Amino acid sequence: MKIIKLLNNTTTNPTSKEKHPNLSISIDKYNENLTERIDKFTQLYQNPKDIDVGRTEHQIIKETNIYRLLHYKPIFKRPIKTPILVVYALINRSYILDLQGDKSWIKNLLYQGFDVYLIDWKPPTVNDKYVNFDDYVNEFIDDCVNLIINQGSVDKITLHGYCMGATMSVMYTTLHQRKIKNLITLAPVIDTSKDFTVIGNFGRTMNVDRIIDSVGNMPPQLLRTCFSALKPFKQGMNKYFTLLEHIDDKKFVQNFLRIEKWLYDVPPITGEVFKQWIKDIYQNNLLAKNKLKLGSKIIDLSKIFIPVLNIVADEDHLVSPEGSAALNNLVSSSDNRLMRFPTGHVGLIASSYSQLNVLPRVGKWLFSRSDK
Amino acid sequence: MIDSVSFNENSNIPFEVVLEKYQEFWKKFSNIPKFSPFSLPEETSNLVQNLQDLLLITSKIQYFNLNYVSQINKTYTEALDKISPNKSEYSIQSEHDLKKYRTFLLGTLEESFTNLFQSREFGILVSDLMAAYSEYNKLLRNISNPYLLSLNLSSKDDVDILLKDMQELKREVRNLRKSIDIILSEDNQVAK
Repeated sequence: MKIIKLLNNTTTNPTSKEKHPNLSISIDKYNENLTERIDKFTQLYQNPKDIDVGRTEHQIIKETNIYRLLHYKPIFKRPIKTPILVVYALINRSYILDLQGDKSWIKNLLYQGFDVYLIDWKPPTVNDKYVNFDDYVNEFIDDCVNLIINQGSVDKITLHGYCMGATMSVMYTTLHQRKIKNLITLAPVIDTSKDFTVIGNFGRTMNVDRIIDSVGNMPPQLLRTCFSALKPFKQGMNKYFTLLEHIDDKKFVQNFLRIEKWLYDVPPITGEVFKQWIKDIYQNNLLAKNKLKLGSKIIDLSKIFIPVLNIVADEDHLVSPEGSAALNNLVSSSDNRLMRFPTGHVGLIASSYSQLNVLPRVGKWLFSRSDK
Repeated sequence: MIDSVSFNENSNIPFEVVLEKYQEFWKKFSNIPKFSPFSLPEETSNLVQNLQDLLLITSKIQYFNLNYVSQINKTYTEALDKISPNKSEYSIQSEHDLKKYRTFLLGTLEESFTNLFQSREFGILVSDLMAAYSEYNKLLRNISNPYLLSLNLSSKDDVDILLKDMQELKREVRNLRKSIDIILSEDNQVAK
C-alpha cells in the first residue's frame, strides 16, 4: 500500500506536474512502453523458443546411467599434453561451463591450448538413492581419470572442479594423488564453520535424515525453495526489470534465457549424497577437520602435496568465500595459490568478467605446470 | 473439554497444549482391547493409529505454514516501514528517479529478507516445515502399504532394501575389479 501511495503521490500529484510538465510526459511515455514490454515479456515466457546451450564441439567417450564423459575437440593440432578433467557439481547442470560462445569457460581453455574433458552428471533416478560420495569419487571420477590417462597416454592429469565438484575433486586428490598433476578448485565448499550464507544456515538446521527417509532423493522442488532464498530481490526480482528494459535486444534476451534455463534446470541429488553433504560437511564440518570418511578411507587434506590453485569469488552468496579460501591453509602443497576475484558464484565462471580477468590468469598458472 | 479447544489466531492456548489434548482424546480409541471377542482386527487398529497421526501431522503443517507466512509478512511490513513515502529524495519525476527508487526499494527488502533467512530461528522453522511434510509422506506410505501387499505389490520399504543391497553389491564388484587391476599391473611389471 505504501508503495502505491508513494507512486500516486509522486506521479499523479498535480503540483509535481505543474513543476515538471515535460518530465511527467516522459513518465507517461515510459508507462506506455512498459505495458508493451510486459506483453512481450509474457509472450516470451509463455512460448520460450529453443534455448541453445553447450554447443562447443565434443565427443561422448563414455556414458553410464550416472554420467557422460565429454571430450572437447581441441582447437590446436597439438594441444598441451597434460589433459584437464573438469568435475562439475551435482547441483544444476554442467552446461553453465559452456553456456554460450563468448562466455564459455570450456571454450576459453580450449583456445588457450588445453585438452579438456568434462564429467556431465546425469539426473539420478529413484534407483540411485543409495549412491554416495564414495561411489562418486572412488568409482565414477576414478573411472574417468583412468580412461583419460589410458586414452591420452599420460601419467597424470589436471583435476579441475567447480563448487560441489571442486569439493569432490579435493576428496579425490587426497586418495589418488599419484594420478593428479595439478588441482584447480573453483568456489569449493571446505570449511563450513566459516560459512554464514543462507544455504549454510539452512544446512546447519536441516533434519536431513527425516527428509531423505521420506523422499528418497532430494527433490528439485525443495532445492529450488532453498535457492530462491538467495538474493531474492536484488537478483531474483531485479533481473526481470532489467529484462523488461532490454526486451527488444535479441542478444540480451537470448543470454538471459540461457541463464534462466540453467537456474531452473535442477536435477535431484541422491539421498545418500545429500545426507553426507548436509550432515558431514555442513553440520559436522568433517572435511575441514580431516575426519570425513568415504567408504573405509579418511579424507585428510594435509596429504595433498601437488600444486593447488584455489579460485574464490568474493561476492559469492552461495558458497562462503572464507569457507572456500580455508583450503589453502589445510593442504601441504608448497606450490599453493589462492586467487580472489570481486564477482559472484556464477559470474566467476560464466561472464565476460571471467573471460577477461579470471581465465587468463588460470591459463597462465596452469600452462607453466603442464607437460607441453 | 477437548471439543472447546479451537486453534486460531485469537486463541492464547499454545500449540503444544492443543496437540497434547488432541493426543489424549485419541488415546481412548487406541485403548480398545486387541485380544477379545469384540476386539478390532490389528489392521484396523493400525489404520486408526495412522489416521490419528495423519491428522496430527496435518495440524503441525498448518501451524508451521502459518508461522512461515507470518514471518514473511512481518518482514515485508518491517521493510516497508523503512520506506517513508514523504521523503522528498524519492520523489519520482523521471525514468531515472524510478530506477533509483526501485533500487532503493529492492535493496531495503533484500536486507530485511536476508536477515530473516540467515537467522537460526527461521532456519529451524524451514527445517520443521520440511520435516513435517516428510512425515506426512511417510504416513501416507504406511497407510498404503497394507493395500499394496494385498495386491501382491512390493512396498517402498521392500524396494529400499533391494536398492540398498544392489548398491552394496556394486561397490563390492568395483572393489574386486580394482584389486584385480592392481594384481594384473603388478604381474605385468614383474614380467617386464
